[in-house]
Amino acid sequence: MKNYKLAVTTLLVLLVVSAAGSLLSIAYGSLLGLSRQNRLNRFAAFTLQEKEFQKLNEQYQDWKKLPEELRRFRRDFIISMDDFAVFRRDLNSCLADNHFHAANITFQFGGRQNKIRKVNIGFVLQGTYRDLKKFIFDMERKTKMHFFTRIELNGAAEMVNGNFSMEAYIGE
Amino acid sequence: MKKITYNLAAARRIDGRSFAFRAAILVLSILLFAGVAIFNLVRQHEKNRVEKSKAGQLGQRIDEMRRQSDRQSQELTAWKNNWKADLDTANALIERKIFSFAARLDFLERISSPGIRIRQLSLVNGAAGQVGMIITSRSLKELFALYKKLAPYELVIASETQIQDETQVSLNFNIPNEKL
Repeated sequence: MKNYKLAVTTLLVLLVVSAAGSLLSIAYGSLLGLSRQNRLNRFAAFTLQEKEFQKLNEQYQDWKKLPEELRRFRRDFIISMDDFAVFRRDLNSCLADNHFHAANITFQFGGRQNKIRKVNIGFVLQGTYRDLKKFIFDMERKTKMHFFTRIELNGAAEMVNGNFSMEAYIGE
Repeated sequence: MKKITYNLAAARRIDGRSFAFRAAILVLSILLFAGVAIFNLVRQHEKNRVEKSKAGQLGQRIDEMRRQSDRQSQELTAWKNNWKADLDTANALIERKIFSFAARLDFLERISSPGIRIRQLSLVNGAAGQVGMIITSRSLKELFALYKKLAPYELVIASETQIQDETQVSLNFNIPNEKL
């Protein structure tokens, strides 16, 4: 009889212990769930941070290419001294192609800034509106760094007087 | 008729079968609870281990990226100091180079009707795309139609003079590149 009692007591104690263990394991799981949530928040923060790092990296890569791009810009678009003679010939031939002859083309050489010198060019043309517009179009198509800064047109009958100001940039 | 049984035993006697059955149920319950506990713990432990290792790798990656971004930021600052003036000059030149007078003349041709005469035109290469014009018109209807077309371009009518059958108007407006 005593043996039976002992067995029952042991079994009941074991049952209580295993039930408590089971409950504790569930509670432990919940606690880990909370810490997992923190970790997930960290993952989310990392994703945001990673995007910022990527942006910075893209900016870095762009700036890394910049010196080469600037060199290429200077080589391809800024007018060298040799190119300036070509530019003046081009301007004259462009005028001639559009039936113009500029009697007075003034070139004023400005100061140097960032190894680039500005040249102000001014001239007056007289002709038909179509020819003036074609001349403007032809000059704008050229890739070297010269452009019109101001154009004033005065119309009287068929003929139009055009007052042109240009800038050209010469590299050194 | 119900059969009556009497237990005449002097001491209580355990029913072995019934005890064994109940003990078996208890043992099974113990095993079930223990199994659930062990399963939970093992599962949580495994999950935790994997996530911790992931978090560790992530931490390493963050540290590495932070070091890299610090280095890049320093280099960027140095480059910006060195190249910003050149870059600004290049951008300003490009901005002025892409300014098209021909496109603005096209625009003026499109909006002017046959009754409008442009006497004077002044175009300036700048971000605002400033245009000044002196025009004459014989028809008020056409003149107002032109005003209406130019209204979205910050039109300013400086003066309007009636000369016999013509109206002479001096006006200014802006055509920036993005509105062409």
